[in-house]
Amino acid sequence: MLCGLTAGAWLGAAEAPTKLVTLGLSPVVISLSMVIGVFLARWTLPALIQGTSYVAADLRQAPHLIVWAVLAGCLWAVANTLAIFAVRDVGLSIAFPLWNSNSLLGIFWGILFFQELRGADWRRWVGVLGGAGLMFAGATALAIASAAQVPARDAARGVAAALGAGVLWGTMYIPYRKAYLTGMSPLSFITFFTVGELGMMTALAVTYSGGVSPLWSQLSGARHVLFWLLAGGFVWVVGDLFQQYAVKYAGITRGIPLSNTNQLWGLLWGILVFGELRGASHSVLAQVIGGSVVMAVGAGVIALSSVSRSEHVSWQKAAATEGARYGVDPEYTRSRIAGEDASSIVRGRTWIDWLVVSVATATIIGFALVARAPQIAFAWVWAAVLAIVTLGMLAVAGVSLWTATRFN
Amino acid sequence: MIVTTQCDQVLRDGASPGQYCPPTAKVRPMSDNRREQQSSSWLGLVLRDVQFWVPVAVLAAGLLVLRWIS
Repeated sequence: MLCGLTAGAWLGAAEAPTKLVTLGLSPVVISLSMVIGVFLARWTLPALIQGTSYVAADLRQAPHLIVWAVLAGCLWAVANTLAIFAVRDVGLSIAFPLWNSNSLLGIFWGILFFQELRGADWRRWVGVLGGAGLMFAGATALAIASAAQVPARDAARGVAAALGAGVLWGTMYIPYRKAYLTGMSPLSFITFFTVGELGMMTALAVTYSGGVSPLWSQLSGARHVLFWLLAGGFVWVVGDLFQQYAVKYAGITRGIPLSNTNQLWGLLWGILVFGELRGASHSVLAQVIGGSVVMAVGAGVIALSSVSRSEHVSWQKAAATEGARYGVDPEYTRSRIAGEDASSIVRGRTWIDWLVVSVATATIIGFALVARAPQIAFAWVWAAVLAIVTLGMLAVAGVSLWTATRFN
Repeated sequence: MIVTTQCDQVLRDGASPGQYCPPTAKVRPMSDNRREQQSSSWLGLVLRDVQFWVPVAVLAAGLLVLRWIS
């Protein structure tokens, strides 16, 4: 539960750099830059926390998950690009809750494919489905509010982009759950996830920019703000990592709605830091805030419907089916689902890990040296307050997760 | 499989491998064969998994929406 909430804070903060789209930067350039930051973070964090030898040993146990991870990465890249188009067309505070409808789809896939909620009593069913209904109602209120803020054509396009992103992100939880039912560590999964992510995003960026040369010139032109996008990608990975641990240990039906509290963080960043909705009418403000609060209440209701023992038994059956299908060692699955080390897994850092960390750090420092503060309305005090709270949540959740699972 | 069985037999009789085992340079090590079979089989399993095609279909639809949006 703690992982889900921390994921929400970090995922919310990570979307703040997408506001750079208002400076006229191409959405695909923004998305590609974020994905490069994501790529750096997705190799750096596992190398720092567990070591690449741990990742390699993990993947040897379930090599088929490489395909799933790459597919999930492709879904993420397209969803993120759609999300940036949505921010451009309807703004951060409205687009955010719309794409967070992904949790509804995540719940659906969890029930349909992974036996989630099987064996749950009626209170838990009502909690999860009622919470999902509240989230849908909140999203609808926000979609209506969007029509009052932007031209009708942009609103329709923006809403379609945000909902499309939600469907892609919601479906991305199928590969996530496949991996975690097998027992794989999120740290291992994300290293290959990001290969699909970067590959797909590069293809999209080249296609939509009109070729490699136009893309390169756009990236060169935006070099003073690329650092902020890379940093956004890095922050996103921290949030995503906690989200993946939440999915692993609480399931899709709980983990995703909890991490979707990022909607509230997005609202806070949008309104407090970027001054969105300034000058909006009271009715629009009421719709946006009311819709967000209803969505948050829905997420809270779902979070309170904790996983019962009989549900855990259903999960174990689903895990056994998955393991049998792909020939995964049952002992590996059992121990890793319980958050323990499998006997075949070795920890330890090698020179490769330090090389990965050094290259990533040098790249980020390089971009930081040429970075300039973007010419955009920005409330530094509020940004600092939100950053401190977000870091505090990271510390608490990180220590708790290490104590309970050793990041397995 | 046959090569291994013959080797086992002569080794049980007390001979050294160099004396009696047929040359195995052209025989691919079993571990390599098994690994190749495993990798092709898990790829086949992924492709036959219905759950795999759901994200693939959604990805294709997402690309179409992106084309329309942009």
